[in-house]
Amino acid sequence: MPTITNGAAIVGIGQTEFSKDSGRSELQLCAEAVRAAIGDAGLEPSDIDGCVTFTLDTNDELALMRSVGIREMRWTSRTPFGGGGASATVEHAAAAVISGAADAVVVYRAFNERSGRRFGQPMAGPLPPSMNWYRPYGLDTPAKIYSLWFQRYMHRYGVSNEDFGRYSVVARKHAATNPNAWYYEQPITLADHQNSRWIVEPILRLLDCCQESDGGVALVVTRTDKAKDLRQPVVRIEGATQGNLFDGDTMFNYYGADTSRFAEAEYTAKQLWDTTGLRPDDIDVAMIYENFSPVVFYQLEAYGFCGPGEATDFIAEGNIEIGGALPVNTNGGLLGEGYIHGVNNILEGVRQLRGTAANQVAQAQHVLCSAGRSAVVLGGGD
Amino acid sequence: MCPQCGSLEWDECELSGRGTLHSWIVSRHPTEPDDAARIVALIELDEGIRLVSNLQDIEATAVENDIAVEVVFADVDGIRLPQFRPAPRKDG
Repeated sequence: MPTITNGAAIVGIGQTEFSKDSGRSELQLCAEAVRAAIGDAGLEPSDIDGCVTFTLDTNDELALMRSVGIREMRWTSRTPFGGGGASATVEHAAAAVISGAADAVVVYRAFNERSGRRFGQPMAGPLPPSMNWYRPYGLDTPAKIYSLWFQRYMHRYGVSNEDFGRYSVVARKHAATNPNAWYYEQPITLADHQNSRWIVEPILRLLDCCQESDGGVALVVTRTDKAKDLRQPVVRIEGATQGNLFDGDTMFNYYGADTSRFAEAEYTAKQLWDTTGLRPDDIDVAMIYENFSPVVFYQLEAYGFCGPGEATDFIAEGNIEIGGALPVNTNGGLLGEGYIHGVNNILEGVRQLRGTAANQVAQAQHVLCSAGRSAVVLGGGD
Repeated sequence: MCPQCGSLEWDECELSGRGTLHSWIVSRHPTEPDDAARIVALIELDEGIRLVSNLQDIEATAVENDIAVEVVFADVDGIRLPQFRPAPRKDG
């Protein structure tokens, strides 16, 4: 079964600063990021005729048009499931331009997720009915909900919280040399990680958790043949797909046959490898959604960068650092750079292929941007 | 709706109330309804169903995956909920 392959490209990226208190509305963050992305592409707002965001995004399409000056829109769509759908936004946009439903689609995600509604806090207000199975027992934060999944992985493979900490150290090392990162020039040691407070014992410490951030990001997708005439080096969408499986949940899984594996990501990986013809060894940089550090472990294994249960050693051996076999989250990821719901990681993938990343990987040609249950492979040049 | 046959009919069947501990966490966040630390558990029932519950009558330091557990029903914040506690395996 084919996924979206080639035919579309990311031609513009834009963002606001990433902060803890933006001091302005989510719509303003959105408009600033979208304007920046359109300008980066060398396009005008009137060239945009489609948009894609998350179901969770508060920024109304018509309000965005009015703010930015987009005159006519013939494609809008939204992806469900929060950050797991981060890469699905690019799939939607690619599908729109390849089919001819739109010519130039802007993807956006903007929020005040630290100064406004904080995702890390106990859930308040109306909750989906599925939470009736979790909330009365004390699962009231994402950290707890995910930890109940992670613990089986730790048990199955003998993984400790200290092992998870080795990812956090790398993320902060990459952020420390990325001026765009909130934690620029603030690396941590494994001791810092082990001294940070428990969030969910014995699974997650504070430094295993992604940030809560204010900010906006956007990118522009058009057909590859049009991309060649625009301002930036062409970043092709080589593959894009989703993995939504029976009895799944947003990204965690309590009910699958083997909860020490990430079935949705394995499905997504198979789709991408089969349709792009690429293999794990072909990937030069992996941008991996990590609301919490263990999610990187699951995804490294799901994509076959290492075998089941081998992520601990793979990370400890330095493979995911700049200069390693597979640099991961070269911007510092959602722990180090900021948490713009995973879409900021896609912008970093584009920068790597343009050769403009703060922590540039030499001659990067193929970048995986995996959000767990959606993913894209981006490619540089032709 | 039943995902196997599409039926909208409901039925009740009595389960053994016995199972094993698939995974667990210590829930300490000081929020309602979770003032005191408690163990949140993913229980795998002998019938093959998994459900989220709590594990009682055991210290967190003594918890191990796959231990045998059995159901008890208790009032938690005014709601009658299934809870679990360690159980000796009678069937060996």
